[in-house]
Amino acid sequence: MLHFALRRLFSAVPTLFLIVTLAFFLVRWAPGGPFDRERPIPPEIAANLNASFHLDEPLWRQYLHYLANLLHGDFGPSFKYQDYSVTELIWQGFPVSLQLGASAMLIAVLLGLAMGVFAALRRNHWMDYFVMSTAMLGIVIPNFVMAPVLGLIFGVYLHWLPVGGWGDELRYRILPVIALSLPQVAYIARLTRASLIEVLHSAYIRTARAKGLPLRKILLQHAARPTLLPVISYLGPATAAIVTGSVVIEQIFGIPGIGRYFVQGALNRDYTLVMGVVVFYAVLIILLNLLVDLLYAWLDPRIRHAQRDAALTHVL
Amino acid sequence: MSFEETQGMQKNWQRAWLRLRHHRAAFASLGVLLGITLVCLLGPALSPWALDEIDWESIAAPPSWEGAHYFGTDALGRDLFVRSLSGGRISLLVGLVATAVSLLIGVLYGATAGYLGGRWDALMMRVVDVLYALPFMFFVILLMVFFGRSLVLIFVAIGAVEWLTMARIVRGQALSVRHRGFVDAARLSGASEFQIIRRHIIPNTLGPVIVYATLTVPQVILFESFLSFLGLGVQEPLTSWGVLIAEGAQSMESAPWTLLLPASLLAVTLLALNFLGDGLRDALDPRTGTPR
Amino acid sequence: MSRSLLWLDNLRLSFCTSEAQIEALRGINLSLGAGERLGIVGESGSGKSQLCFATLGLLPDNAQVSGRVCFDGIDLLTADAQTVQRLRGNQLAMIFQDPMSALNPYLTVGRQLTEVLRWHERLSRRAAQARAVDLLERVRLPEASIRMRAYPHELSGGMRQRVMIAMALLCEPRLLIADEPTTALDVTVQTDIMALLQTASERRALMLISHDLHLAAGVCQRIVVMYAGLFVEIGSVEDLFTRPAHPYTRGLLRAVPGHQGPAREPLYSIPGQPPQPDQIPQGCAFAPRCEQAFSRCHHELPPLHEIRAGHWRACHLDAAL
Ligand SMILES: Nc1ncnc2c1ncn2[C@@H]1O[C@H](COP(=O)(O)OP(=O)(O)O)[C@@H](O)[C@H]1O
Ligand code: SF4
Ligand SMILES: [Mg+2]
Repeated sequence: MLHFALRRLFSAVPTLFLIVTLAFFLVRWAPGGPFDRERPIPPEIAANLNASFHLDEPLWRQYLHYLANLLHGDFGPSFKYQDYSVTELIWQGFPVSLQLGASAMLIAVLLGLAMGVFAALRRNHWMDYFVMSTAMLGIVIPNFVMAPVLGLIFGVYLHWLPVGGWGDELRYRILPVIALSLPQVAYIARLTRASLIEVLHSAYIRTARAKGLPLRKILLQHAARPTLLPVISYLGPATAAIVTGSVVIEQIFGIPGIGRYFVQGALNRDYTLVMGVVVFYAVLIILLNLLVDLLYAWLDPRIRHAQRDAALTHVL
Repeated sequence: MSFEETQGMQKNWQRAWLRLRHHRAAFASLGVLLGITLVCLLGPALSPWALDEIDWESIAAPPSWEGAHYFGTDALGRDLFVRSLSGGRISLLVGLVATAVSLLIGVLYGATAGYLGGRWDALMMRVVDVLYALPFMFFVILLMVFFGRSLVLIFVAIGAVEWLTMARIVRGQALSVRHRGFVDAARLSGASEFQIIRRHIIPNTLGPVIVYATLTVPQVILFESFLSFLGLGVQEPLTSWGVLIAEGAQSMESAPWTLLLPASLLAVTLLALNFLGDGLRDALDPRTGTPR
Repeated sequence: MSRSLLWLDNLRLSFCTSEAQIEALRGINLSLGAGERLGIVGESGSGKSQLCFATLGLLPDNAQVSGRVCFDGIDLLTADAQTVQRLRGNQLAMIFQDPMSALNPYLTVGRQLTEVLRWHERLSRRAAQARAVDLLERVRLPEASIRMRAYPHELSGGMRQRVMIAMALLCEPRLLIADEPTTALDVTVQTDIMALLQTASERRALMLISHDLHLAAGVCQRIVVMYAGLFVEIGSVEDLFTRPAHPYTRGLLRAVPGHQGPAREPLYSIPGQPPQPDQIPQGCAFAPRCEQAFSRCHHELPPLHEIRAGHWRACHLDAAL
């Protein structure tokens, strides 16, 4: 298992490297970017940039400096917020984004599993159709539609919940978390249903029934693990989707998270900030994927990767 | 391909078409999609209002027949019917073109890897694996930020993101047809590698590719709307469903239809595309590759 | 006749599919005494496995059953779920055709064995463990106590089938059903497993499914020949081998290499294919392949009737033949 973990960790290295390199050169080649000598940039920024990127040195040295800085968690200075470094901005927003994203993920997994199991056990019953049609709505109504509509209903018309802002009270969090999690609830529900139905048709479940075990034991001890495996594989893509989704959700509800900085940065052409966020999120997603892989391997005694990939393509 | 084989394939497609017609949700979805496309293409011409024309008498007015504002007007007094349908054109166009781009890259890449097999295949698929782990949405946004927000860049960027799964599917199919008799026969009769890929491998992988392409279109439309919603996608004077939804979200308190009508159009389109994809999956049965 | 352990009365089973109604069992009557060893033989697709599953109530959602399955006087088709669960794995146990897919790949062998004892006999973990090891040793699995911690994929096919057999014997069932227990295995381990089954079936009733008449004859006292969801001949091993009465049984015997016939005869196989389950012909289902078929065979279903004491067959031909 340790061997497997190390190998997976090692195999993530080229991906990380690719991301960092891609980001560096994209910024480098971008017209009107911070490194564009043709355009005058404010002298404070020029000084900051010079300090962290050593602009006077050859490109490959700059690249090495950039890599070295990254290893220390230094994303360089913000291009627009002159008094902040990108690292500071990210660490300001991250706790908020993390709370939002983690809550949404938790709800997506719990609710999605519950709905999927419920529907699978009542296959082709009207309740199954009802739950699955609801899930289909969750998939075709994107969260940037769902969020304002929820705000309209529960904020503007009913006055139950605030339409925006962020605070420690629960009421600020309900709408953003729900809007962010709904599409993933829907995906996980559909995936769980399909997975459980397939597992319940397998020969080893028939054996379990032949042994006289009651349904409760069959579900918990024989069906649970194989049913969960495809869902666990999906957690990687789900994380990416929630991270992406949080960008719009933070924008819509005015939540001071990383996503908000990202959109501001993108609209202001704050190159270093945007690049920093991308690299930060990319690393986060890759590390989470790694965790998911380990969880998967831990649950599947055969560590059958072929099957895992098959499950993934099935989902996508 | 021999005459019998061609005949057999035609029969298979006919059978698949029949099966699709029996899939009620999918067949209805096909109708809905054709309807939406037609209305988007023709609708704006039928309205007395132009895309940017401002009706000073009715600003943020609800839908009405009298002023010929069938969907009402937005906060600036522009006709929402015309804007929604023109936006639909762009959204559908992005969906189709970007999917076509992804199709082209994915099919060529996957077919080549599957056809070459062995070490080349392993290497090419490893590249796909590495790319899979990238959070591509963010890279597309990066591109839009750095290189400006043009429609062409949207096509290319999204298409370049979506080809990975397509490549995997095609490669799997290609691997499985690689050693069937007709490929060997073609090779013996002196066909070039490229001809073999084009004439034999690609046609045989068509079923799953059609299914996946159908399911890619809604993803692309969704992604374009997402970008446009953030202000990073389609730019004025063009509009798209994502742009309209973003504008609608601003004025939803006083004029909810500005949000709900474009959003419904988007949702219905996505729903229909998903149903159609499911129906095609059943009709073409990707498990066996070609139509049963 | 003494009261039988298992009694099937006009058991019918069909499957609803989108294309057709498939009849897998078309009226099965059977009585199996305690301690009796019965073989059920037929080509693949004749409904042998479905007969086992129907007996244990392990049918898929699209199945429709009618008739009676009485075990020890209890009708399993109408009994409540709890009663059936008490019996399954406890008094009736089954060995499946493919031990690879029939064992749960995600649980250790030990876990899959002990859970039966803990559920049916409420044994403590330790007691269950000891009994499971004991049984693994009885089925001659080498290094039994170490294998308890193995996952199915870590065992060979033969070892897996030994585990399956041990699993079925855990609660000392009164009826053991074995569905082609050696079909998925190497020929080299077949004899071992059959010998094991032979010892395992002492003191209990056995229903052995096989497509190989000789294999069944080696273990069983009585044999049933099945064709297209029906029994076509029932008799003692001696009856069947010396006086096969149904043309299908004769065909099966001729098709097997090594039967006592003219030695120079080339290897025979019954012409044609068994009918598709959704298009079973009217009348005798074997008629399209039967060399002796006559017009009546195509219209009238031959009933199963006793031609000698304990020897039954379903055929329109004269009994004198
Ligand atoms: N779930 C099902 N739906 C439809 N038909 C089925 C189903 N399960 C089995 N059958 C059909 O029942 C028939 C009997 O199968 P089976 O009992 O497995 O045959 P055997 O074990 O003698 O080889 C087969 O023709 C099979 O196609
Ligand atoms: S009933 Fe007729 S067809 Fe059937 S086995 Fe007897 S002779 Fe042959
Ligand atoms: Mg069978």
